[in-house]
Amino acid sequence: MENGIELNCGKVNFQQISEEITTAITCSYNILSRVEVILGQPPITPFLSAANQDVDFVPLSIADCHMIFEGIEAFSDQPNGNYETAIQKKYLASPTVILTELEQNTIASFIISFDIDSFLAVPQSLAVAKRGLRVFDIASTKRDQY
Amino acid sequence: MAIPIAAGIRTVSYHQVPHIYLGTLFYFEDCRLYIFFPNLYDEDTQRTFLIDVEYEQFMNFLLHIQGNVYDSLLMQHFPSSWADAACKDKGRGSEQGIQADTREPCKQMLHYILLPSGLHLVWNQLQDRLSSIGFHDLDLQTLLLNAKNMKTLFRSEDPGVLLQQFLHGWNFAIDDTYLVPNQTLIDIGKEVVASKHENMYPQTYLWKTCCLKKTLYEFHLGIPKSGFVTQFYPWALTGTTCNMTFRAGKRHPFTKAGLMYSQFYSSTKEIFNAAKIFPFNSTSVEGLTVDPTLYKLWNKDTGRSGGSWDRGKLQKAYLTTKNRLCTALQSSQKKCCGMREEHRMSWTFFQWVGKSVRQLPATQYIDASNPPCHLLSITLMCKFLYSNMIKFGYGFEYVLGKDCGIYISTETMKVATMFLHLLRVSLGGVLLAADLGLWIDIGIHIPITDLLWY
Repeated sequence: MENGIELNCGKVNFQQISEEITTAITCSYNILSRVEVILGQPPITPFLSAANQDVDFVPLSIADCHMIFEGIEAFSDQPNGNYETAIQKKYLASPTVILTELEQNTIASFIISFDIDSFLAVPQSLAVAKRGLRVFDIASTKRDQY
Repeated sequence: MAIPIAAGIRTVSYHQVPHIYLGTLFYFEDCRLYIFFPNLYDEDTQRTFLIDVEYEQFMNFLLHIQGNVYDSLLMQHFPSSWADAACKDKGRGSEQGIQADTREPCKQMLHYILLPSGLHLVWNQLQDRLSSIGFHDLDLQTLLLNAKNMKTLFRSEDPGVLLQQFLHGWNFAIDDTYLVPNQTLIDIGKEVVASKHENMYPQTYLWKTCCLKKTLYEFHLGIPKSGFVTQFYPWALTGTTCNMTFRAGKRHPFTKAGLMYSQFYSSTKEIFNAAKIFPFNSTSVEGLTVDPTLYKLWNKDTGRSGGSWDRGKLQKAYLTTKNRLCTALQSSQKKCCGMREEHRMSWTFFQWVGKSVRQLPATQYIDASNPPCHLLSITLMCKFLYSNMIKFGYGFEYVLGKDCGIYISTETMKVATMFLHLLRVSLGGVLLAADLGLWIDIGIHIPITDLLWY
């Protein structure tokens, strides 16, 4: 497999796609590094740049920007390789960026509580309703699925 | 539930069988009663509801039998027939003369109370009537009592108090002599959440994978070939946090005692949960990766322009989900999300557990120096999830938009689909192995055990 990989859905030419994505990443990254805002209206995604103007994005820092593009870079690193493996290596085999900060926190005060969330039963009669039954909307065509 | 078919009996999930929602138990609003009609189950049509003719026939029987059982004092307040009820619930919407003709009249959700004294007789007569010749379709009705999302209703830090609360409500509203103990299942949960403290920022707890594996090991009880089926759900594609579900094998003591399954998960899913609708879970959004020219061809061929293959609707659905995610993440900055374990057990086992739980100390402790969870500020977690959404969303949108959205090649479609799948699995605990498009690669052979354990 020179230019692609064989998936269960067919062969993917990753070389071609990854080059374009890498160019886009570099382009966006440079812009983002300078202005320190993120992807309110991505300049190179016409698909959403016009349609998504109402979405109010949370501004992220440069460090976040690094993190954002890490995932795409993981694919770009392996133009002829196997991106499933890349995902697994990147995210599942080692702790991700966020976890480096976890160890700095300590558990301070917490609550432990118990609850009954739900129950399910098969009654033998309507008489299971000891105090009566509130029957709803006898002619309803509303489909209230279980 | 057991469904009679020509070749014998077949077991089918309740949610696949035609049923109606009859009502709620008085003094226990969260407890809903459904009637299932196994004879209406058809593998080919796969419907879960009754068509109007069947619904009308059943309700008319019910009203008729109620008339026989209850006195006229009660029945004067009930509609006389299904058709009568159908007119009454539309009365306000259609008879005020203010609603546009083109719209379906608004319906009022009318309800009626059936007194407990005649319920058993009503049910017996209904079964007798529908088991007679000519009513085969509506015969073999099965009742199902179900209550969900009560975790905020029955909750206490003291397990003894919790049981007292629950059993008080249960015994008041439910006559459990009509229940089959082994077919009555209860979900009991335990939650650990950071308490609000002036000097602390809101914290989120996430299960550590290693601690869940240790928990699983303890549940095995050291029994060889115990038949455990376990699934781990990596949280937002991270390596050391996950959710877990397991079910013991048939011969395991827990199963024999009545434990059905156990779940361990983070409450962070509540941030995105919209009545069981989770972000990007709809497979129809994958239609965005299809070349627009194909849409036109399909619509032209089927004559359904603006119907099923409406790219605009799919794009709107995608953007709505994204917008919802942003709103949820922005407004969750002061929440504390805990870690939760939930065990489904039979009524018999529940009563046995209840006795043990009462003996537990009223206040529980965990080892604060080595907790079974990762801790992080909710702000950081929201940023992490947000960045996941942006990076995979960016990939998805870029790939689709690179040719101005005019042309989408097969190669592009595959990569866009991959980004969409990644977007789906990067926002919470997801069973990656179930996403075959993402996980299975025929180039490498993953043993089944690795699929389970990652």
